[in-house]
Amino acid sequence: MSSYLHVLNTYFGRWRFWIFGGFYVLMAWLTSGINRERSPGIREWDALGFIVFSTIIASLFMAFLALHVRRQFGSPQAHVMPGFFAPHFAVFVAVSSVIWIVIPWLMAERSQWPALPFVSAHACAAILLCLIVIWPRALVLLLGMFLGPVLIFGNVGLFSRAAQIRFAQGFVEGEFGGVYFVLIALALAAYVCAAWRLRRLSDLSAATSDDFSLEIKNEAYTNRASFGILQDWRDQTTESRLAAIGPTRDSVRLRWVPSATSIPEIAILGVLIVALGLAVWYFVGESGAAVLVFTVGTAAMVFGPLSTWRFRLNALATEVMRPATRRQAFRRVVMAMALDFLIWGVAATLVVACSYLFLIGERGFFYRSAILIHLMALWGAIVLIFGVTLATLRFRYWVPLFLGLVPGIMVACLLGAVMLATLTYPVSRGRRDDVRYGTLAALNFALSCSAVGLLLSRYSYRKLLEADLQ
Amino acid sequence: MNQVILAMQAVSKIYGYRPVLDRLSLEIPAGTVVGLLGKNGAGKTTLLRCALGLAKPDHGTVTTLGEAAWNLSASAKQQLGYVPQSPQLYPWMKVRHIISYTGSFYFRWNPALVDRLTAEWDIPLERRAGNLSVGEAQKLALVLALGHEPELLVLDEPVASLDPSARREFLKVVLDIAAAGNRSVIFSTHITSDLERVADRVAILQQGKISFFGELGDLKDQIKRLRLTSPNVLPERLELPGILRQRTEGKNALVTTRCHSPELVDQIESQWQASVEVQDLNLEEIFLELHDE
Repeated sequence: MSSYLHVLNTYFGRWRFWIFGGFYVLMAWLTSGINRERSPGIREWDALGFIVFSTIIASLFMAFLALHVRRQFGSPQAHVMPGFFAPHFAVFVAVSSVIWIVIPWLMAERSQWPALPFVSAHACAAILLCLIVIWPRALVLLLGMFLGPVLIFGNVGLFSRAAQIRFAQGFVEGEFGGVYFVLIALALAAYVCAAWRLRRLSDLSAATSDDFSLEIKNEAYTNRASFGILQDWRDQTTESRLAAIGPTRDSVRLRWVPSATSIPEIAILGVLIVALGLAVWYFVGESGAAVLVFTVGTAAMVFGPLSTWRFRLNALATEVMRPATRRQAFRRVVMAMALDFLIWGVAATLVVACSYLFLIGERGFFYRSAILIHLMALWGAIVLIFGVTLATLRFRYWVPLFLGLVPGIMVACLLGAVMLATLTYPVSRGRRDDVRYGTLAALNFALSCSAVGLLLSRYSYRKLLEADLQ
Repeated sequence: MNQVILAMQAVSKIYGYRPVLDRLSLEIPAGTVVGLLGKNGAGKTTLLRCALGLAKPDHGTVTTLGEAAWNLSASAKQQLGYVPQSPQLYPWMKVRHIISYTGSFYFRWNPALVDRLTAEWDIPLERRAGNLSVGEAQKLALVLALGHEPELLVLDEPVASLDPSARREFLKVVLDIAAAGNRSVIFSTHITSDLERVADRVAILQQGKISFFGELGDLKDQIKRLRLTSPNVLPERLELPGILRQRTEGKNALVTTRCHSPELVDQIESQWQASVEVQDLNLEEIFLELHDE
């Protein structure tokens, strides 16, 4: 068999590619079948919607592809084996081109729109792919793939609805030649940079070329003066927690002591989010943009405990060897983890409370329901992430699992929540009905996320009790 | 001395389709220093993890400190110290914080011993664990395991990352522990010279089973290399009990046997009219002979 086919087999042998590939193709097929015979303006808006949706799914797929390629080129074999680069890189380019050129092209053909807008939008996914290949921490830009469309097309005050529809019409009709050219040229340039990076990757150690580059490296915890104050706070937190334990042996509080963050650090992050949201509100002049900042900021806070627990959940052998029975040890470790999530959740709640206080005066802003919706969604997400963390962070390849499960479950819960709310309020009779609809949907979302999170936690805890530990 | 600190009865542990431990049985009496020897992948770490309740055997029973290893009580763990192959130390914490944190769990924490060891081994107390070198992290893990003066200390390749002076110091500490009361140490290692220096018993793990467990002297008494010189041509294959390796060249032969006895020498001398020179083997040679079977 040709070496190219051998390399191609390394993609076919991974179930995650089949799942994401299948999902991507299915979504592309379904969305591109939407009726084109709709009124002008709406049909372009719809078309842009499925371009954006499909680009987001393609980006997720590309992220996994990038990690796969980095692992291939980061291996010592890549450096030692003759003729390694050409087949591996060629297959990488071919596979990724199917995702960002061939499938969007077919989508455009099927939906009878010009192909260039479709391909150029999906070029964003190719750019992201190459950025992750070059620098794995660019994975966080996946968030940007969700946020970008919200900022441009959402009701956040950056662009008027009329401008958004004009843009949609122009983009899908193929009127923005310069934009398409720039996006595709950027994608091609990104491939060149990725090739350069992959050539050099094999010189580096495996530690810098695997997909854990998202994680904080041990060496990052230095005594550097630049982070001296933050580190002093952490030390003081540890000392004060240890002092507060006193003679108590093996309690939840004692298990809670090792933490990679301190309360002052969490407080500073909260203040920064509030300040940023208010600054956006002041300059944009509408609450939508500020709410977006608060939403993203508090959503980021929910992931705060991961910095501690990614390490601790992989050091369970040490935790279990402390003087306590296996069941006691796990219960206390899980409770300590819950305590960490609780602290971050309370901090995010305070951020929400402080943030919305400033928006109360704005006319037409339904602050009570906004706060309620935000908090319900926040706590639903916290419980879900707690469950997913417990279920996945022990695995070596936790990144794809975590990245797949959290948004996947959230989207499923959101769809369920919206459908249930729609059944309850099928027709809107005004603003008040919209608010009730939103609140009910948020409640459904929070309850379903919490239910899934709790089920996952319970399942993972039971699995832990029986698990072999390293 | 009759008390058994670790007992394994017909223990099997299978990963996938590969049995790592295969109906293994072992009894370690209290107050002994046991060295566990075996090739890479022989199952040394799995055996130790089963002994500590970190891995659940698929078959058989493991009793550690008189309790089922899988469900060790808190009081049993108060008497247990463990150093894994790769110590897991919170990278963001300073060494002194990790020491006080670990000490908080134990009733019988000995700060004086910990202070002495950290000073002797040059462990930087103010440095964060994430910044320790591999050797320093290993030393710190050892200090943390020794701090509560455990009755049973389990060490999984503890000296692999240590420099010669730290290794020597460590071995001295192990000997001190063994000498103080009825304490036991079980450690796996590839460095047979260390094992010879401190272990009073050896367990050799082969194909998922303990192929030898006993005093080091007994092992050396059993496994010998015999140099045969006969006036006649010797057969290609000598039919002798417990042969590990043999090489025959005309009237000379070199045989390694695991069943050495004066009777065996007499049998060879009478059967082939050969003169027999018995050679002692050190532990490394024994290990190589056993694994070249």
